Parts: sequence; C-alpha cells; structure tokens
Amino acid sequence: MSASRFPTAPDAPLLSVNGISCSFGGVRAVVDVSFSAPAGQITGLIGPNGAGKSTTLGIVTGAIRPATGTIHFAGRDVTKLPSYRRARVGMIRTFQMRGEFDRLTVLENLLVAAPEQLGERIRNVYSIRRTWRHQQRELVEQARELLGRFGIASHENVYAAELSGGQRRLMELARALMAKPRLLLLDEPMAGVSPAIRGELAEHLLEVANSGIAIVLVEHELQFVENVCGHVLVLAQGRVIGEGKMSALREQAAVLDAYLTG
Amino acid sequence: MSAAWQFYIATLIVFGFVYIIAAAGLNLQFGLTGVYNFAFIIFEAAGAYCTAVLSLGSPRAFGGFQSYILGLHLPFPLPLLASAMVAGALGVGLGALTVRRLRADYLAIVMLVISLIATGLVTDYQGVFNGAAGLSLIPQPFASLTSSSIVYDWLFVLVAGVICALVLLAARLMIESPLGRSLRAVRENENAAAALGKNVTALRLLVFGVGGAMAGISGSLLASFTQAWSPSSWFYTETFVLFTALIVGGAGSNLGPVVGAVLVPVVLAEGSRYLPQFGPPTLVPSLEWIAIGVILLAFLWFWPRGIVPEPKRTFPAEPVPRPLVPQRTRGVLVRDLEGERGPGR
Repeated sequence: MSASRFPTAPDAPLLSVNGISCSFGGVRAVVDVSFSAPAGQITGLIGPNGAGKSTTLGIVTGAIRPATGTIHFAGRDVTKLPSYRRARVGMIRTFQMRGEFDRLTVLENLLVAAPEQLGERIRNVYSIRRTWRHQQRELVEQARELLGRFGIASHENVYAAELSGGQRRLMELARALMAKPRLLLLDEPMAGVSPAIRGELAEHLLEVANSGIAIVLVEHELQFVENVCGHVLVLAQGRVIGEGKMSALREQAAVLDAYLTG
Repeated sequence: MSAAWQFYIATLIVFGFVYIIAAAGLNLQFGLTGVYNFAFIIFEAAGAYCTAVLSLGSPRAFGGFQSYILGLHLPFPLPLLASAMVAGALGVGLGALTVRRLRADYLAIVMLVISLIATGLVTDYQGVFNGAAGLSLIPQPFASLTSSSIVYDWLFVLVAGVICALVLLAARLMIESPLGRSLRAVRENENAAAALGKNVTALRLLVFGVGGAMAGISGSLLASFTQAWSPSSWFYTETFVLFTALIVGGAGSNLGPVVGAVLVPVVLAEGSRYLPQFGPPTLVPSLEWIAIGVILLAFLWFWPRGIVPEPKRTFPAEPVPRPLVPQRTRGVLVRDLEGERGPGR
C-alpha cells in the first residue's frame, strides 16, 4: 500500500474538502461545507446536535455519497472512492458507537487493521503459509507494542465486547494506528469515556498528531476540543458558521447564538 | 455382519460425509462471515445435477425416457471437479446479484425466494431437468473396480472420507488464516471492516464461491452414491436442516459442522425411523421436523454458541525469528504480492 499512498506537496493540506452538500429527503444535512486538514494538526468539528458533523465525517470517509463537492486527499480526488479504498490510502476512521469487532479479541481487533497482510489472499492461505505466518508474528509484536503504549496490554486476549467504554476508545485508537494512517477521522472519541481516561486519551491524540498524522475529530466536549485542536470549525444546520481557534470562536456572536449558549 | 447391514451402515457414513462437507461450506458463509444464505441447498443441487449430466451418457442411450443436457459420460473425478466449479461459479453469480445491494437480513429473504423459484423452475422445466421425476441411472464412479456391491459401497465410503477430510482441511486453513480473521471481522461489523480497508463485497463473494463449491462437492458425492437426482430432494427445508446442524454443532468453529452434521441430519433424522408407529401415518415423519425445529429454538435460546463453540484465538508470546529472504513462490516474488489487490488488503 505504501507505494499507492499519494505523495503530498510540502505545504498542501493533506485533506481538502470543497463545497460538499448532502440531503436526506427534504432535509439538507450538509450545505456547501469546505475545510482542510494539514498533516500533524488536529482539526475539530463542533456544533449542536443535528448540525451535520457526523454526516460530514461520513462523507469524508466514503460512507455517505455527497450530492455536490469534492474531497481531495494528498492531492488526489477521492470523492468517488468507496470507504475501503479510502482506508487503503491512509484515511482511517473511528466510530461514535459500536466500532469494535465484538467476538474478536483485542489483539485480533488490531491485527485485522494491519495493511498488506499476505495471508488475506486466498491463494496465499494455501501456498505461502510460512511467509504469511512470519509476517503475522511481526504484526502481533507491533500490535502488542501499541496495546502497551495505550495501557491495555493486559487485555489482549479479552473479547472486545467485554471492554469498558474508555478501554474501547483506547483500543479503537490503537487499532486505527495499526492501520498506518495518514489521516485519522474520529467521531466523538470522548463519548462514554470516564474522566480518568479523558486526559490520557487527549495526550495520546497530541502524540499521534506530533508524529505527523492529520486528525479530524467531531466532539461535543468543548474543553477537550480547546485543549487539543489547533483549528476548529463550527457547524450549524449543515453550514460552517465559524472557524478558527476555539478561544476566538467563543467570542463570535453567530457561534454563541447557534451553539455555545444553546 | 449381513450385507444389508453393511449397506445400511455404509450409506449412513456416506450421508454423514455429504452433510459434513455441506455444513463446512455453510460454516464459511454463515458461521465465519455472517452471510445468511437461505438458498444454500440449490448449490448442492447444482453440483448434483452437474455430476448427473456429466456422468450419464447420451439421453438417447436409454431410449429417451429422461431428458437432460450434455450426457458426456465423463469418468471420475471430472464430474466432481466440474460440480465444484459450477456450484462455486453459481455462488459467485448469485452473490454478485445480491450481496452488493442487500443488508444481511434482506439478503436472507432474497436467497430464500431464489431457492423457492429455483425449485419451481427445475420442477417445471422438463427439457433440461426432466421435471419432477428428476434423473436416475447415474453411473457409479468406481463400478469398474469391483463387481461386489459391498466392496463398492465401502470403497465409496473411503473416497468420500478422503474428500471430506480434504474439504475440512481447506476450510480449517482458511478459518485460521488472516483471511478468516477478516471474514469474522465482516461478520461482526461490516462498516468497521470497510473503514479498515476490507472490501466487504469481495470477501462475501469469496465465501459465496468457496462455500458454493463445497456444496457442489457434497451434492456430487450424493448423486454419485444414490445414482439419482430429484428436485424434491433439494427443497428449501434442507437448508434449514444444515443451519440447525451448524447452530447445534457450533457455528464458526472447525469441529462444529462435523458434530452438527452427525447429530442432526444423521443421528436425529435416522433415529426417527426407529420410533414406534403411532397416531396417523404422517405423524412420525412430521415429528422429525418438529424435533429439528424445537432443537434449533432450544439451542438459539440456551446454547447459541453450540456444542463446540468458536474458540477464542490467542497468540503465544514468542520472539520474532530472523526475517525471511524474499523467496520465489510459483514464479511470483513475495514482495510482488503486496499492494492494494485482493479481497482483503
């Protein structure tokens, strides 16, 4: 996959979303939304319920097809690519709810995400067994290292369904990193996470961004957004009504009206 | 042991192998990938029909008392291999029409309807399938090797056993590979699997093809052994027998299809023969279906993982050995296999 990952011009944003719109029946869920996400930075999408944040994320990841607009990733138009092909070029998402493989262990959840697995091709299952088993041993070590980094190494043989809400978030983030992403799209990463784990998760995200990975996250927890996001977009009724630093957005009347004061 | 008893036991064993192979195919689709293929039996029927028309000679040779196509009179194992390919191709074809657009529950409904349509079509299409009468006098594949019917039966048991073992080995290698893990991921959460780069449609088509091919092998063996093929033998209810076998045995595990296929279609169904006759003449045969239904419900309710549940797959802590030098495998360098190709990644 590395060969097929598109190179990026030094100053170009990794992700560039231009004028995307989407309607469900008569409801205009997303209207002419544009934004970009540079590598190594965390971009936040905030807004009241029904603002179109998750729909925007769904369009960027390929789960929802936009009526208009384009999405460029590393200089290539990915608007018409299905979800799995976007993931293969490095656009990895997490889910607001139920993103785990319940009856796979935590370690297996991570192994599924590893790209370029030789043993996933049926011909190789029967022909080059020794080679893919060797590759699998290396992947197991990588996965264990990630689990250790996220503090859930002792849970590697636990079914994902048996994890707590916070542990699931940590596992999902570790799994996303196992997929070797260039862009992480996180849908409410703090949902269901206990206050004890929130700080830990924020630190992990900053660490991931510092390694050069672009992050776009949808979140309701404004203090968390202020702490980790360099750039924030405010959505209301499907439109972008403000963007910039969170501290500056708190002063904008339109943002206050639509969101911050409820 | 009398010849009659030997024939009876050999028949039971062959039927056991036939059901085990079919259950192994369904296990790849339903147990591993979560595909509710309620038309599974038609792939078995397609394999059986393919073997029949490839093994039989020209329709005119028997005075034209039955109508069918081809009549190539091919020797074993060509009809068996062709049956696997035809049923596998049918699986991919039907899968391509359905899995791309339909969610699991709607797919189940559509496949059930396809099964009903197929049975109706075959029964009414006299020229190709010989209608409800089906086909008979299918040649025995190893008849030239022995003149003794008892020896022939045990020879068939041996060959069926070897084929069954090979199918189970192929299924096991697939289940325990990274491909099997990706299939289980699709079963658990198809959206999350797609978001990690898995081509869910291609993976489902793959199991439609492989599971269909196994069903074809199963049907081929049955047609060769019984020397007959009839549409009434492949009604949609047979699919539910296999689903019950899989749920009782343990869907997703390697041994589950074996245990379920032996317990449900062989022991339970055959056991009902030994019930004393009571009530109306149709009561005892009906009890067999009632028992299968009750057992299915009981297992779903109290024992949903089955007798041999899918095992938790863990990995031993071990040091990583020295990297392998890229090696040539069938003319393709290992590093050439990497990339964005294939149903997984």
